[in-house]
Parts: sequence; C-alpha cells; structure tokens
Amino acid sequence: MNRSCIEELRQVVGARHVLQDAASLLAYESDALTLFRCKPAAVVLPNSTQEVMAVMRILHQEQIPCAARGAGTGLSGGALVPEGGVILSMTRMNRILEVAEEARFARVEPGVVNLDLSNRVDRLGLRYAPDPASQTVSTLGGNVAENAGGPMCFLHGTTSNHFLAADVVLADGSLHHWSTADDLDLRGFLCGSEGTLGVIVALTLKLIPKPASIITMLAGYKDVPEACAAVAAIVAQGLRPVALEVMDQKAIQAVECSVYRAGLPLDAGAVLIAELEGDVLHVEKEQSRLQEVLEQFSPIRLETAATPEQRLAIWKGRKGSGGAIGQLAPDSYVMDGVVPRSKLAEIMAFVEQIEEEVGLPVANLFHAGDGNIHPHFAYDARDPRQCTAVEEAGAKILRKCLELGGSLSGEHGIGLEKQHLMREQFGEGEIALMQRLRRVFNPDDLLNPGKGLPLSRGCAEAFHRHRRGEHA
Amino acid sequence: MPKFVHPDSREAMRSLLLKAQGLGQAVMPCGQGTRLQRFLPHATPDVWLSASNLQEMIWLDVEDQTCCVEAGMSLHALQKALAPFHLQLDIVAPGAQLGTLGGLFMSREPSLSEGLCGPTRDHVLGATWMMANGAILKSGARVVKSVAGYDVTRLLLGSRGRLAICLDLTLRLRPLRPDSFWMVLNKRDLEAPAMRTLTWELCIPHPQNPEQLCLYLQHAQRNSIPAQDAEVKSCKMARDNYLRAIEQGKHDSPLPSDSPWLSDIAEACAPGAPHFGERR
Repeated sequence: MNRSCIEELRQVVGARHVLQDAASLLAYESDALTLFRCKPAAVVLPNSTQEVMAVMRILHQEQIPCAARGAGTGLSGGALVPEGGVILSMTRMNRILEVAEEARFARVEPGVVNLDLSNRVDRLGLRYAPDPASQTVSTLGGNVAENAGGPMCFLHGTTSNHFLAADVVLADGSLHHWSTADDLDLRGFLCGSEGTLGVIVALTLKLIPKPASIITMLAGYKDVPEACAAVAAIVAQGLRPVALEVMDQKAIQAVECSVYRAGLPLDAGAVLIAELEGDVLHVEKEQSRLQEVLEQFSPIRLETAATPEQRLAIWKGRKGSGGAIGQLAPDSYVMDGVVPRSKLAEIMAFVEQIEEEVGLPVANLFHAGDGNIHPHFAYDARDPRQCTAVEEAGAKILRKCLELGGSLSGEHGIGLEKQHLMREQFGEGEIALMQRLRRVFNPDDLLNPGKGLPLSRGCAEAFHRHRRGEHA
Repeated sequence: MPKFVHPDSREAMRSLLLKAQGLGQAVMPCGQGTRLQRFLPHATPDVWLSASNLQEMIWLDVEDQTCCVEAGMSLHALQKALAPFHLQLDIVAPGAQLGTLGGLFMSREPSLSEGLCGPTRDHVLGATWMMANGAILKSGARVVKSVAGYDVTRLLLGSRGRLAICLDLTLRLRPLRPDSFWMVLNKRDLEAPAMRTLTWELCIPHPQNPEQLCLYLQHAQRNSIPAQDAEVKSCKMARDNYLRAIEQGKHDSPLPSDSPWLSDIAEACAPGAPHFGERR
C-alpha cells in the first residue's frame, strides 16, 4: 500500500485506528482456524457508517482488497486478505442503536457481541435466539456474515431466520438498505455470504420472548451410537426440543479437566443434552415424554438440571468444550459438516475410522438434532506432516458427509478451508451462477476475495503460500 | 400458442420456454394462476408457463422430517400426504386447495402461522430451478442446516417468477401439534404484560365481534390466559373466511416496487437470455 493511501485512511478514521506495526498485525493474520495465515498490509478500525463508506471509496479507488472482520472467531479461514490487502475491523462499531420492545426487534451495529444483545433485552423478557458457542465474544455482524447457528437453532433456526434488515456498504462505498420487506430478498442472500457482497454497518434483528419454563436434561450413554439412537427416537416421538447436543468421551474428559467443568459423567462414552422450553404445563408434559425416551436407551446417568445454575453449568461445559479440547494438543482443527440426522451414527463411525488412520486424537461434539458434526482434531501445527494429515482427514470426512446427502458446512462457512471442495457439492452451473451473482455486487472481487467459492489457480496459490506459517 | 400452457414434464417445459422465446414472445412462470391478480397484477406475458402439472412427491424422509415435492402440488395435498406420518409443513396460507406450493413460495404469500413458525421462506431448504435460458440448477441442500455457498434459494423465492421457474422444493417438516386449541380473547387483553410470552399458531379477527380475536394456541396455555374457550367450529369458519378474504386481496399490503437490482440479477441468472416477462 502506498503512503498516500495510508494517509487518506488515517484522515478518515484517525491515525490511532490504522494499524500497521508488525505486533498489531499479528493478531489479524488468521481467524480461529489457524491453519490459514496471511498478514494484512493494514488494519482499519472505522467508527461509523460514514467512515466505512469513506474507507471503502479509498480502497476502491486504489483497487485494494479488503475483508471485514468482527471478533475473529470464524472457523473457516474467512476474515483474511491476500498480501497487500486491508482488514476492516468492525469492533468499534458496537452500539445497540434501538430496542423496540413491543415490535420485538433490535437495531445494532455489527460489532455488538452476540450475548450482549440478549443480556441487554433480558429485563424486557426478550432474547436473541441464535447462540453460537462463541456468543460471549463473537459479533453480530460476523454472525450474519456466516449465518451462525448454535445449539438452540434446532428449534429456532439459524441467524437467517432472525435477521430482518441490514445497512450495507458495497465495495464502491455506496450505502444500501436491504430488508425482508423488499421486492427481492437480498437480505437473505447477504446472510452467510462471508463478507463477499458488502460490509454490514447496521443490523435489525428479531427478538423473541423468553420462555416461561426451561428444562435441561443430561443423559450419559455407553457410546455415541446409543446417544444418536436416543436423538432419533426423540424426534420420531414428535417431541420438539429446542436443543439436542451430543459430546463424546474425549470431549467430556476435556471439559471435566478444564475451567468449564460441568459435572459430566466421566464413565459415559457420550452425553446427550436435551432442552425443552415453553409454557410451564407444556414443558412438564413434554418432560415426562422426553424422560421416557431417554430411559429406553439404558442411560448410565440421567438427570435434570434442578436449578438455573445447574443448567448454566451444563451449557458452560458444552459451549466451552471447544476451548477445553485445546488442552489435548498445541492446536485444534474444528471441522463442520452436516448429514441427514438419520445418518449421524454412520458418519460418527466414519470419523472414528479416520481418527485411527490419522493417529491423532479427535474429540466430537455435535448439534445432533441438526445432523451438524464438529470433529475436533488435536494436532501440532509445527509439524507439517500433522497439518497435511488433518487437512486431508477433514476433506475425507466432508466428502463422506456429501456422500450421505449432507453439506460441507452447517454454520462455520466455506472460507478458505473448504472452497476446493465446493465443486463436489455443487455442479459447474450452480458454481457459475453464484460467481455471476457475486459479481453483481462485488464486480472487482475486492471484498473478501477468494472465500466461499472455488478459487482460480493464481488466487489459490496467493493464499496457499501463506499457510502454516510459511510466510516470512 | 395458448396463453396458459401446462407441460407435463421438465423437458416439455424447457422446450416450450425456448420455443416461445424463439418466437420473440414474453414468458412468465405461474402455478394455477390463483395468485397472479394479487402478486403480478401488471404482468402481460404472451405465454404463462405453468408448473401446475408437476405434482409429484419426489421423496419423503420421515425420520429426518424433510421432503422434496414438485412445485405444482398444493399445500392441501401435501398436508394430506404428510398427516399419516404425523408431520406437517408449518404453514397456514390462503390458496391451500387450489394454488400451488410453487406459487405460494414464489409470491411470498404470508403464512398466518408466521408469528410462531416463521415466514414461508424459513421452511424451504433447497429447490430446483429452470432459468430463463432453460438451464436447470439446484440451490440449497436436503439437510436442515447448510451454509455452503450463497443462499440462492432465498434470493429466488419471493421473486414472483421474474428470475426463475420453481420446479421442486425441499422442505423442512415438523411434527403435528395434536394439543393445539382455539380460544377467543379480547384485543385489549393481548396488550397485558402477562401475555408477552404467549405464542399462537393463528390469530384471526373474530367474525362477529371486532373487539375480539380467535387464537389457535399451541401447547397447554389454557390456564395462563384470561380467555374464554371458543367454539371450534366458529373459529375454523373465521379462519376460512379470513383466508378467503386474503385470496380476494382484502388484506394485502401494497407490493414493493421492483428492486433496482432486478435486471442485473436476472442477467446473472441467465446471461444473454430474454428475462422472464421480456419480449425480444
């Protein structure tokens, strides 16, 4: 980047908010998937819509690629730019602009942390439903860009179902408002577009009432197939739990040896967390039905959270499990694939087989109700052979998901991680359509280039040079 | 060529589309035509290309609670096919008997159960489309959660046939709610703070009393609501009358004006081909 361009950016956002020193840039060279690293030329931290528009105009004029980034908790190598590019960090735009209690929506800036919104509206008897495990740190703008999910999405749906409108700045610096009321659902198209269509500068999100009653049950089973069978039976019974989560033994042990300790049964091969919500009578009625089903599979332990604190401890354990698994090795590769729920046992058996082949430990936790698996490979990124092994193992698992009728991603997105597999889920015609649609909004491919769709060879090489710390 | 054509297969639909375009005629997709007056009041194509003869259930996965149906099937026929499996599509919309599912989703017809179950688009996992150049493309996935690639499904749903013809839809199903019940409630009671957590499947104006609402409630909320038990028959009648009034356009909000992106997106959908509704 030339000096005059940096100077212009400084004039827009203030010199303090244009980062260029090596130590600062280090924090922005990867997201939470550290397999991919690429140091940006600069990081710009705007504080308003006008500043974002001005920054985008400067970058557009200079044809400099950029990627918007929230808290950097993404798990697919999404918020990275090729050499010479700029990261637009949205964390200063973290204001809750409006809470409409009666109409049940909130208008927020993209840098607001997911859980902060629910905490803010809690006293009104409202909440924001999507609850990714990263919700204590991940931002709502990032959640929309990735169409984030979470355990509660089994009943409530993913971010797209709760996202009503956005103000978006395109690559040329123009500002647009896209909402559910529009002629075409550009809002829906934007959600999950991984920052490749525009930079979100404001969001309108749906709030839903807090339930009068919540029941959380924890069942320990001898192994993962038993837990999967219980999940299938719960759904077959016509029950409508809000969440159905499974953790395997390695995940349980990691949690119980960490600060996220939740009192999970260490002698169980798997635990199933099932939660019901609604009005008191309904939940009571469903609880007895749920308990009956859970008991059919001979649980080693079956308990119901007796207090809100116990419930929170269970969820703290579940949501902290990704971090707890970090104890197993210096690095962790968190995968994200989806299969039809009826194929869960089959895919988990395949993951076990891959684990044996690779010889690296794999801990599993998954959104069983949605068929969304998250094998966590524990490895050492300093060993290039291990890096290659986990990447190849990940690709094999994703190919198996596709073979079983599933998808490459349920909530982490494609990013850099899976773009090379997109042609295995979609045909050439579908890929070409998506590429043409991207060009409608991002004609010069300046916004988060190389993410989400298969890369051209040249572009792929530009990124791959920077994998696994191979950069200078 | 007749004004309305109802091909029996995708191949026949494709050849009719290309033939009409070859003759310089403007083509617009439709279902049974029951919603055209409300959602495409100004369209004047030479040919309406109807998917109404494509009515097959392509697959139903009871265990995964998903199905794939051709776009010409009616909502009523789908619900009837699902009932033996204790499943349903969580949508209550006008035109259930005569209209097609393709028409329902492409027109973005509001669902009366939207408050509880979400708008119609939230129930669609994927679809197959015929673009204006005759290409057949898929979007989405058959699993209940997928963020692979752009959400082309949401972009094309609700586009009122101006971007693509909907051939089939992959839908997320839900278990039937056997314990739902009808109640009548005074409108002013609905504003009470205690009612904030209330969730209903349907909320319909009372046919006789404008100060009251008929609510179809999920679960066992009977004890927590200051409402009187309703006569089921009159509530159902109120619901049917309300749906009929919607069909007649009595509750429609004005249609949004055309998106400024419409033409560019139509071109991206089928480069070089005449856009739907366009004469060349």
